[in-house]
Amino acid sequence: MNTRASLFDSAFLAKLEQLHLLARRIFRGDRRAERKTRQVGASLEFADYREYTPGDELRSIDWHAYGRLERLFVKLYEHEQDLAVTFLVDCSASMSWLPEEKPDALSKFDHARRLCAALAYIALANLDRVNIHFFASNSISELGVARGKSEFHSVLKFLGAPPQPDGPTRLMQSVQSLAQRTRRRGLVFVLSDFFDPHGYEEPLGLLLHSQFEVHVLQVLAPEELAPTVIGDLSLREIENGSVMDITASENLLRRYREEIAKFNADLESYCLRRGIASAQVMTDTPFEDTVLRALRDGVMVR
Amino acid sequence: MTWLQPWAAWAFAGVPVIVLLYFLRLKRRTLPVSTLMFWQRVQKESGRSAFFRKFRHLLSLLLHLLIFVLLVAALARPVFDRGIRENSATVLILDTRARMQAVEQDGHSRLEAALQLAGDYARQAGGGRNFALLTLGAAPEVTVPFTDDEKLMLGALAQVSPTDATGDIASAVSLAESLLAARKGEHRIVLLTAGATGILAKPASKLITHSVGTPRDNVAITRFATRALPSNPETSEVLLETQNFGHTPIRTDVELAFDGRTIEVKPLSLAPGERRLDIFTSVPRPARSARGWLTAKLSAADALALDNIAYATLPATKLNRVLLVSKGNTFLEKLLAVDSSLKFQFVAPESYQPGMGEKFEAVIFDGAVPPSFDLNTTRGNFLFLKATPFATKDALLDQPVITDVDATHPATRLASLQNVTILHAQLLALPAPHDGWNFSAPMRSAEHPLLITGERGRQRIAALAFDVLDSDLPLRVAFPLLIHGTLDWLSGGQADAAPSLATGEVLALTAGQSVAPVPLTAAPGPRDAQPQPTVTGFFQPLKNGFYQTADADSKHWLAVNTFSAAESDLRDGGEKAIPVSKLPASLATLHAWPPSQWLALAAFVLLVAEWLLFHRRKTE
Repeated sequence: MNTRASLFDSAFLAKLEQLHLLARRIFRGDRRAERKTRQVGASLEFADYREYTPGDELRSIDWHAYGRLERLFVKLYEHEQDLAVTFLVDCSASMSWLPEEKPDALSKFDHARRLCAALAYIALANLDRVNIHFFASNSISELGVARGKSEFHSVLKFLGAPPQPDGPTRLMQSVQSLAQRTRRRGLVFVLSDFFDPHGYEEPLGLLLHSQFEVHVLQVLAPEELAPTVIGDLSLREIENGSVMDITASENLLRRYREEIAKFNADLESYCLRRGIASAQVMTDTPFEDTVLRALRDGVMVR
Repeated sequence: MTWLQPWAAWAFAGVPVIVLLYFLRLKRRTLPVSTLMFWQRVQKESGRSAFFRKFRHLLSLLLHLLIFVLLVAALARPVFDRGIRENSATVLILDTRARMQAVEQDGHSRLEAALQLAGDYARQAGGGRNFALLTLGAAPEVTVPFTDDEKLMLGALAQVSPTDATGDIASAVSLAESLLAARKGEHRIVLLTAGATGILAKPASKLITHSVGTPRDNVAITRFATRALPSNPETSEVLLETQNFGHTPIRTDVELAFDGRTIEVKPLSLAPGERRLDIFTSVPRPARSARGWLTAKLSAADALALDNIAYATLPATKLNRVLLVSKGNTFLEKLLAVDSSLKFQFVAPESYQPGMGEKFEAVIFDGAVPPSFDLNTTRGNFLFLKATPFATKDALLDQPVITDVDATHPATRLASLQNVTILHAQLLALPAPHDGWNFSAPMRSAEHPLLITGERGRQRIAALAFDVLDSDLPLRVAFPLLIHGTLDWLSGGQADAAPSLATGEVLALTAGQSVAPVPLTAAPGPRDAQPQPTVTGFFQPLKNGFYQTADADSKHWLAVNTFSAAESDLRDGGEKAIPVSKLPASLATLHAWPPSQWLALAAFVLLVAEWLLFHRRKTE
């Protein structure tokens, strides 16, 4: 079993390399490191023609077309630029929750950091700009822009020394902060359990409204989906310390499972409706399986 | 309701412990969760069961307390008192007579069935319910006095064994009534028998009769006797009476065995209800060294085995020494000379010396009473002819006619004395009992005794009122039979009868006489040769067989048999004899679960319900 100390050990790094190779194989002949934009630029890649208008550079006129058609056309080239990939990693207290019977297991936060590292490695290898934000009730810390594989060690360093997970999840405040501070739009990966009592619809909508392409990775522990404990319990929420007394019967557990399943289904339905790529990640699933599945499904990379 | 083990109420002291454990259990286990969001929604949705949740723990506590109370109540062994009130007294009369040995179709004896019923009753002892156990064998016997100790009753029942005797059931009920008279509370007599044929007066106490067994066919030996034949001293005469107490004809063999050796086998056919007499005349008389055991055994296998075998002893050959004191009596001398069972000497009256009689089993004084004779001091057994110590000085009886002859007296039993002509006879006076002497007159002429017999311990005396030469008696067959019988009786024998006893009959033993209490039915083995405790005073055999009696001079065998048609007749046994009273409700449920087990079952059901309500985990 992996532990926190070995979160980013050499075995993990080896897996990242394998993931990168696999990613290359999956997207061979499709796209490489460069991300094409809809902007017409000065790259070597031909994009389209348009009629000459005064002021256009003469060197961009396609004289061959003029010879055939006797009309002036200007050759347009695709504008190539790197992609800004931002990771919003939930570091609220709920992400560090561990079931009583598995105190040494990887928490949702650990799993989210591994996923983030893997995706960031692939992005850096594609020469994309990577930034990582830890958030809880607000954006707590930020990596800063990193580009190129050489920056991966700083990514690992940042992920390996996260702020102490604390406080409730307030996704809206973090998204607002991100939207205000980030001028360049791009991909945003939100890695969270989305147990935000204020809801996820408004912050995700704000990201879309801010021209971000949003990807949602909901990280959950299987014990959260199907608790098994029975009897008279005093439930203490790990984020705000509020307490609730219940008598957990089989019937109550069944209704709980139905309720959380409905919540997850609603999240998935919302993402589908708003064009948000989403995936549910369980902590008992190896992260490389999750990444590969996401890559194959075209969720992570376009 | 009665609590048989009220000490169990102390367990209620554990109630506070349960309540304390309950409150300790109420301290909920704290469980950290990532969010309460979903739990709150679930609780909000299940508002309909909020009321149940509110009282859920209280219900759990109540269930626990109820289970505990039920278990304690079960431990206290409650019994409903619809049929048995406080301080009730019940007498169990257990029939152990011979008929209870009859085997039913299921292979079990009637006594086993009765013991099972008695055990069911005995298990109700305690809590103010007192039981006494009477066993009815030859006579009712208090086996266990009133007690509420169940174990004592069951232990006594385990020791009960059947007897071969017959007895009177009415006497047992009467004894039970006597026992109950001194008791307070409700009285009840429970009679466990196989066909109560006795005429029962309705007792004051409630009588519950359980008649075990069913009507069965049976064939039995109802009489088996031997006697010596005076006409042939070498052989004995054996009488065997058999009876078929069944509804179907039966063919069987009877086997006669002498000292364990078969001497004759005879086939018998008996119609339903037929009684048959068989006489065997060629049975040899035993020698001195022989035991003289004679057994008769029927080969038929029927319900009651004990009456298929009978025991008798053959009269032993005994040579009586007789002294004849006479001036001369031809008939008498010739008679004594030819009787091979006698060895007689003849002396003249003037030669008779006091004390001579002690050397002989009997002394005959013919026509004279010695002057030294005194009834109280003179030792010996004497027969007086004509001149007797009981003669009065009144006139003689002229030509008396014999009117009464005691056919049961050993002296006159075999003699036919009717129409004997007597010229005249002394007028005798029958003495009143005195100084240990008892007198009787087995032969009379109206109110005048012609033969007086007296007995004091082992000393005997007989007096004939007439001279045999003054009658035609010597010319009759009765003469040798009368003299032989009288001399045999004087010499201590029971004429030619062999000693026998009915099972359960009480035998008064004389001083110095004892009986081995264990009967033998086969030749004594090495173990039987061991010294056995002996019974003195009164002896009541309860098993059939041969018992050895001993006195200072000799040992004899005593044959003991049931010989009771009432015990052997099993046709009217079973429920038809006495209508069986219905058991009281509390007793009728003896075979069902007692309340304690129902309480324990209820506790178990509640325990399961509590588990289902509060602890069950479904696997979905």
